[in-house]
Amino acid sequence: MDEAMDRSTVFVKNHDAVYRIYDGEAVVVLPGEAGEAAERRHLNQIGTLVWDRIDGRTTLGDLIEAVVQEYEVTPEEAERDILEFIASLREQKMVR
Amino acid sequence: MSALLEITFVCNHACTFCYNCPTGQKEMTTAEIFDALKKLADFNILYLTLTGGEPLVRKDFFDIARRARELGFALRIYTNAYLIDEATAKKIKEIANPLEMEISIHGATPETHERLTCVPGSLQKVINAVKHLRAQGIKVNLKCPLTRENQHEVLEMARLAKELDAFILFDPVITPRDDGDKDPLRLMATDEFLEKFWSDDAYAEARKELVPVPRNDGPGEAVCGTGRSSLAIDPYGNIYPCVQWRRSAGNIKDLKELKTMWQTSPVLIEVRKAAVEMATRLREQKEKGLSGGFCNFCLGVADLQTGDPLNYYPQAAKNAEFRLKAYEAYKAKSGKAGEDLGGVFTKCEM
Repeated sequence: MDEAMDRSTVFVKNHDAVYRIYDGEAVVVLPGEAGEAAERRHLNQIGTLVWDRIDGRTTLGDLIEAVVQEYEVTPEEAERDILEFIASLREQKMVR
Repeated sequence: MSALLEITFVCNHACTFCYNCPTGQKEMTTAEIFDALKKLADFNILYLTLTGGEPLVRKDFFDIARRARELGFALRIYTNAYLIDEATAKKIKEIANPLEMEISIHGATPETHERLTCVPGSLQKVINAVKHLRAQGIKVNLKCPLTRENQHEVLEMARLAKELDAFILFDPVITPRDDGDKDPLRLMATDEFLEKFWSDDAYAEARKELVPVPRNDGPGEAVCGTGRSSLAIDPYGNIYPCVQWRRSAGNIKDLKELKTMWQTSPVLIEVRKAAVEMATRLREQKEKGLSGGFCNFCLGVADLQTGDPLNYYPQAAKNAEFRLKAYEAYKAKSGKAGEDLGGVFTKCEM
């Protein structure tokens, strides 16, 4: 885990990101650069569960709990997967 | 899913080829538009285009834009930009925060642009608006309907767009008015120009493809997104499968929600069937090496021009023939097909 991150850490969506959920899977749109098409990302169901809860208030601990309640995974597995997912969202400038 | 919402037919331009045909009915009030937006959001529409007429002439434009943003749409605003000064651009960023702005351009010189808009000073307004919007970090797509009045300035318009850090898209098809009046068709670009546009390397950047690529519809696929992934709503609340095909499937003011209409409307069922039928016909043409394989076919324009959505209308036929010719010439010269260069045919989704 990132040294500055613990289970009370919260995440914030990119203000420019908009999304809808279709059949449990989110389609997220971000504006591209001038001359490029808008960027569209598809998230799977577990990614959508996490993404939908990111609101600047829900903590990493809350996200882990939500995933554990919904899927057959241990809190440790959920934490590892969520952190990997958050890292990819950060890389794509979808969260901060 | 995408929707195009015409919030007014009122416009501060008088474009000679405009397809809008106001009927004099009462346009939707702010409250009615808010209600329509809520229904569109509940229907899970992601992309929403606010257009007109000229959407910014509505005094409640920013209230509508704010509501749209609150409802989480990926917002586009299609405007002539005449009312966008520095302060308005800032307000657009702060309130609407659109995915992109779409702005009409009709020439690279005031003479040409203003001959089509009939408004003195309108080109400079576009240029200033693009600069103000780009300064706010807003993406700008310039859209140019190609006509015989502006075809000689295509390369200059492409250069201007580059200078302004904007994207530009040229549309080679001029459509009849919504009431079927074919007068705008007299402005269609000439055959000589269209042939050059689709084949000459100098226009590759303007047409967004080095060499035309054929359609790639599989069995059962539709020719476009009409009535399938998109819908359009006029200022009176009428719902259409597409902005080019004004066959009303109902009025949003009369509906509690959109899902039932979407699933049961006889108009939409027919439209979807026609869209698959047309894709099948074009695929058969492609298999025979005919131009249909290169056709960006619009069922709505076909219906308006010929009275039958499945008729191959002259503009579609001409553009497709020139595209096929350019494709074959390139293949003969280089030994490669357009699709070998990574090109993909882009279907109309609006």
